[in-house]
Amino acid sequence: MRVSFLRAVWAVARKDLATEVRTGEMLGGVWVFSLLGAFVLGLALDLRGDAAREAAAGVLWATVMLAGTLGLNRSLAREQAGGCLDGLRLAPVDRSTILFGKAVGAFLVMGLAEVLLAPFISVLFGADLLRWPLLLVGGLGTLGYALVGTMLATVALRARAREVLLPVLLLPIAVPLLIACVRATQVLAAGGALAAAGRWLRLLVVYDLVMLAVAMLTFDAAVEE
Amino acid sequence: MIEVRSLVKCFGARRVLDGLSLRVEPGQPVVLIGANGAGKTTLMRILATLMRPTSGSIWVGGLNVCSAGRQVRRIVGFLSHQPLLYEDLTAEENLRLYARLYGLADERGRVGALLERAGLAAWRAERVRVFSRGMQQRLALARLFLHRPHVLLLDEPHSGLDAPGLELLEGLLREAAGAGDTILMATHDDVRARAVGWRVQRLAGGRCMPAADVAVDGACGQGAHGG
Amino acid sequence: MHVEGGKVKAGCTGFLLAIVGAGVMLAALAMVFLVAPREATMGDVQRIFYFHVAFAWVGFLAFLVTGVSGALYLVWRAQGLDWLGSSSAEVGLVFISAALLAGSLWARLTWGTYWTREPRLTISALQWLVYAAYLMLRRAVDDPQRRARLGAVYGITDELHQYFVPSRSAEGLDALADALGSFLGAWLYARVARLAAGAVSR
Repeated sequence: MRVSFLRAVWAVARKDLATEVRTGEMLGGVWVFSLLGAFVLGLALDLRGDAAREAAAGVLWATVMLAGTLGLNRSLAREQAGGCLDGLRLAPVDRSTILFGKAVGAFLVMGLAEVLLAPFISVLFGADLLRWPLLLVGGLGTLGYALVGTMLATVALRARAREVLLPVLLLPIAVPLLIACVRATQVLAAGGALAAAGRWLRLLVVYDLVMLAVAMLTFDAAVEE
Repeated sequence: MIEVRSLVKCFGARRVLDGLSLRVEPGQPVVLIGANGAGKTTLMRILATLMRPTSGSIWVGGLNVCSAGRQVRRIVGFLSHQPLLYEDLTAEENLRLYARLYGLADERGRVGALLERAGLAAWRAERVRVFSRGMQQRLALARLFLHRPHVLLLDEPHSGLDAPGLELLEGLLREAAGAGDTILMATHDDVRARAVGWRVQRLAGGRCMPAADVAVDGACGQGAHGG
Repeated sequence: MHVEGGKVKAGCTGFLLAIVGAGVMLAALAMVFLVAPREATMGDVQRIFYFHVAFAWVGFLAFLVTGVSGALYLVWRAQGLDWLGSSSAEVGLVFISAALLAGSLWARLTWGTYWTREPRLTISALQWLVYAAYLMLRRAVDDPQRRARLGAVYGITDELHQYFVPSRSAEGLDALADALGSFLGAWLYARVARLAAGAVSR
């Protein structure tokens, strides 16, 4: 009855995706909230022309990372209902499968939200965010965010006031991601080649690796009762 | 087999389990009775590896719970207060998730068989959200026996069970006991505990009381009158 | 457990530390105001620098202590480590606040604004937020062991993430990042290989 690590991770991810397909709570929440955020920021900052174009990258990533906390909260809230997290913890698998399974789900949902958001921000701020290389930036950034976010959402789950706590915990940690994503996006949106954004991409890769290691090391302690 | 020696569990300054020792032999089920808050659930959760003990040694199926957690989970089945079911998934999807996590070979067959046994075959494609409490408990029982555990830990299994559920539970437990599985059931319902004819162990003050004298007193008798 | 027994001993060492600390502090202050030469362009204002940098160093060092003691707590589960980590965070918060105030004052007197996008100031502000988050997390958990555990997890995450915040020495950062990345990559590989081999873990 040996369970392959990957199979267990996929089982958890699949479960999250099935729920998401059926209810659309996470995707809807993240996408609509990001859109709202972008719109509100657009109105509040009242930028025109070049200033607006330069702000587009920042608005995209900032709103996505803020909205992402809602999605992550939803994801972990599902495990709380009916005590399901216990069910996952009872399985004879390494507990990090819970982390990776849910992070995969979060990654896919947030990635989709970003793809759906980019056209709107492009229009609202007059920038061209619809370039293929941006998928790489988005992919790396979202990967790191999903990993750290899922882990911290699990930490917050075990504390009071978790909806408020998660953004407070996650956003400082996500700052390097935010900066790297925004800078890389700005370079690419202005027509630069992938190599020009190389420094930021490298930072994203290293960040993802380090956070992956941290999450693997500490998740057992985070999910413990 | 379950063997617990001097188990201590503290929550901050509060000692919920205070040097508890217990032994459950295979094929000889034990009912654990005690008032609410006596620590029954805490004990069960520690045995199921869901909680870490503060100190003490715990052996389940010959394996040390603290160092061989994963292997212990392979042979243990835990029925919790909560159904451990995803409401937005169907009955079948819930069971298949667990079948995958436990690495069962014949996933589909096993899930189908248990759904039949639980009388939920007609509801396999329905979301658990629409199930009645009794049906959810029956599905939870199906989940419990899915991976054929040798050690059964049941925390208040009778709560919320409907008539077919009760029959299912009793049937499954009879078979398990007959097959030499180790069973520990916690309940505050004293009447049921006696009715089932198992050895009764009382939990009070964070310890197990000597088995000899298990008189019904006020604290434990709460559930006796229609619990 | 340790607190009662060591109270007398702690009292003595505390007193000694206070004396030594006060003495060294006075000497340092004397050096700042009397010994260090007057800066050519900025004059006496430049002396803020000695305080600001010192505050910032202590502020970051305090968090290093929190991070390391958190990691050790997860391994040894000794409550004392948790106390060390959380006290360090509280101390660190005070010092980082002081660093921010000094830095802000410096900016005002040198450039005329209270805030600039200068990396040092930004990092200090970020660190302040991290401290605030850490302490908020601790307040949101009642059970002491759980509080210690979750605090440790967050402390470790924060400590490692600090190396990524773009700072003044970009080259140094890159080198460090690469080194850290390759080390962890190697460790990850080992871990994944172990998982694949089906090794038992808790």
